[in-house]
Amino acid sequence: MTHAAIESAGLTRLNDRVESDHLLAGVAGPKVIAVDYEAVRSSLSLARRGCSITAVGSSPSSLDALRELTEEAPVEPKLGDAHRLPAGDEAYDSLLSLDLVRPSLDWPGTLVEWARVVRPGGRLVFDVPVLACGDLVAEADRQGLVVVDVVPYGAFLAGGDVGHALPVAGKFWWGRLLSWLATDDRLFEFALFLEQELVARLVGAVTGRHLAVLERRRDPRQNEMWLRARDDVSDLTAREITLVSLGPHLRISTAEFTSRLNAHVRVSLRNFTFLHGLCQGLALSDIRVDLASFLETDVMARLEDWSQRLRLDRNVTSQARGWLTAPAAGKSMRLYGVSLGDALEYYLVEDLLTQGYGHFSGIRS
Amino acid sequence: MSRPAIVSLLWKDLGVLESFVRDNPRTRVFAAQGSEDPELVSAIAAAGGELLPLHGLLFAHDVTRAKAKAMARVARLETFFGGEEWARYSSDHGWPEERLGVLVTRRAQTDLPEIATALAALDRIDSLHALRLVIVNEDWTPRCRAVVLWANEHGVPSLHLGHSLDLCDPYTAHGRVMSTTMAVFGDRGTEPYLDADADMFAPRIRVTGNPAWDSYPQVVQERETIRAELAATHGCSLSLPWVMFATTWTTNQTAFTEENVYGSTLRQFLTACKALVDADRQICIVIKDRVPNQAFGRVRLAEIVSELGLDPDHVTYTLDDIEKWVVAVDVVVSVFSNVSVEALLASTPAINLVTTMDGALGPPFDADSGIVEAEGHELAAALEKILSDDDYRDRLREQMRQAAPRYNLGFDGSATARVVELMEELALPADGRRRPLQTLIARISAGWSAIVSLVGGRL
Repeated sequence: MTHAAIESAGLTRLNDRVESDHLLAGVAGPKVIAVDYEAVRSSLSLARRGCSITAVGSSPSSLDALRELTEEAPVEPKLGDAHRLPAGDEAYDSLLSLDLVRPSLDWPGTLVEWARVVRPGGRLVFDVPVLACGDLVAEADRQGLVVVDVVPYGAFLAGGDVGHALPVAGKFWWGRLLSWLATDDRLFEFALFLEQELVARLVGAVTGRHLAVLERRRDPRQNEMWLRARDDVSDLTAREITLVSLGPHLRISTAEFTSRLNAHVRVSLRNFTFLHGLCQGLALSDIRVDLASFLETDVMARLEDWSQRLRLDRNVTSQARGWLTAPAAGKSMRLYGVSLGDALEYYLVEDLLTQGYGHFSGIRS
Repeated sequence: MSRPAIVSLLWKDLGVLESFVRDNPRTRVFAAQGSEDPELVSAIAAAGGELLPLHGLLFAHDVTRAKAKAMARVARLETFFGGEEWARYSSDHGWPEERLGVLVTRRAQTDLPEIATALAALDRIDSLHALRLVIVNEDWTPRCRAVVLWANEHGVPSLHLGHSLDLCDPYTAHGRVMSTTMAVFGDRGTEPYLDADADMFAPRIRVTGNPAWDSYPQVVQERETIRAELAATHGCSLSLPWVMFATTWTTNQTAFTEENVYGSTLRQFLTACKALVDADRQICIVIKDRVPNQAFGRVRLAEIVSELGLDPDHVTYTLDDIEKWVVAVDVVVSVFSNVSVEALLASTPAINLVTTMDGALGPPFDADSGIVEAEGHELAAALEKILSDDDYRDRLREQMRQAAPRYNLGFDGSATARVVELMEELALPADGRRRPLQTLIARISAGWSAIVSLVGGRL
């Protein structure tokens, strides 16, 4: 199995759960039409809860794939096009799509077709990449739709535009860590908590991927209010995020948020490592977070201890290599035509850690 | 025409030297280790070459002169560190002027004489032979690094044949590899370097498999025989499950290691064993120690066994036969270790006992490796699950079989052949013609690496 596949198994588990939960929260009523493979896959959780699903495939082979995917589930495959749906007007309570709307496509035109098949008060739930909320609201107003929510998700956790937020994404070590999402329930629950209680409360700046929920109802005033609230969240992420500033946007109390966050971190070394990795990434990103306001004393102290060790490693390495860059030092170390300062580095690091900074006693036990 | 030669600072995988000579008769191998082994000397002679000590061409007065040169450099360093330039330079960089100067000088006093002798030997070898290649098992320790630097300076290709699969981020001194080419065991071995600097390392890394693991495909076929043999030698009961702990050690090369990791992890393992025994799970406990630990290893083990109230007769202490033990036991427990990788190759269920290292220096294993990970307090439960759940064990073994090629290319007993093929590809022509371009690339490589390491961190 390749590294990419290994990482992907963990992310897929988390992504499926996050999408399913958002879909469950987003749909209105039991009659659902899902218009692409990913949407059908995610809608299976709705089918298990009694919804009837119409699965639209654009070709006979895609219908076969949908049949294979849905097996015994109460899902009816239908041949059709996402832009010309095989459904009568107002035939469904909700429409789902997870892989179709792209800025380059005629998404306003697509929305017209989707809104056609949903009853008044029904909902369109679809994922979108980075999209100006103002544009979305303007189009919703034009088409008689209300923006219920645009939920950021995926982010650094679950296969979104991972390069968007954190520089750790794409590193092999981070991928190995994420692979454990597939089997380590404690890590999975921690990541899910961050997705649902933190990422989903923020704005697209942290993810590059969103799930939009639109309702077939005309209410420009509500859209305007939604847009204003969204601007408040944008302001939040433009400054340093603190527990106080985040509080009004959370769906749980700040006390519960910190309590659950710290409990997740403490439960295993791997979870702490996950937090540490996120913090390393945040430190290198544009997102500023006042960690001390979120983390309890013991967790913060441990995080600081790791940071201090990392700084010490960098410091001693810099010294073990750097002294040689002094011009006369380089000349002093030339022997048999070779500059040998670099040959002293290995044990000099240990000397610095032990005798220089007293980090080690020199006695192993 | 000068006789062709290669220089080896290998301390394992010495079999590649014999294979190389078989393909390249008349080669003289100047080796830091191996020339004291009559068997290897004979084997290389039979292959048509000659195995000589690295310093074999030096006279006593050459060594004396080399060491004197080294000490003269140390004296220069002392003068430099006592001068104004260093005071200014160290202050500009925020370094502790006096302390750093003292430590560098002391380190030079310790290491430079040996380094100078090695370089004198290289100069002599080079003057009398067509030197084709330098090969090392690692290029971080002083003499190996110096030999690689010498090779780079002289346009001789250098090959770093890792002595282990690098499971963690290349921390501190490990962040730079000066050899022109690196041979790693599997794709997994490339990851720490690609994470550190893909542009720098990708063109220099080759995946070969580990010559030291070439015997595994054969050894795993002989599991029952080996188990019976070890049972007879060490008195382990064949009717009980064998649970092995491979001890660990700290190099004190990163602030993330703990000096007490030997004792603390041994205690965690034995505590878990005690919990199993107290729950009526009879086991044979095997402690596979490392030779550098033996001076206090037995004593430390006896102390902990006594403190925990374990029966010492049920505990076997050994320093030898790691391959056989890995194949024969029922579970292997180790700490951020290649022993887990060996278990993976042998499809022996394995537990990585996690410590701070695992988090801070990059997780060593992924979820699909088949290697179980447990913290100390979870170890007893993890062992019990492996020992009691046949389906679980089978699933782990299947995962290990699937993962094996990622950790060690091929697992076909042919790593030695691949390394030799790489050596031949890299080696200069037997007439010793140097490649100016290669020299230039090596120097640029080393220079770039130095710059990157000075300005960059982990990310």
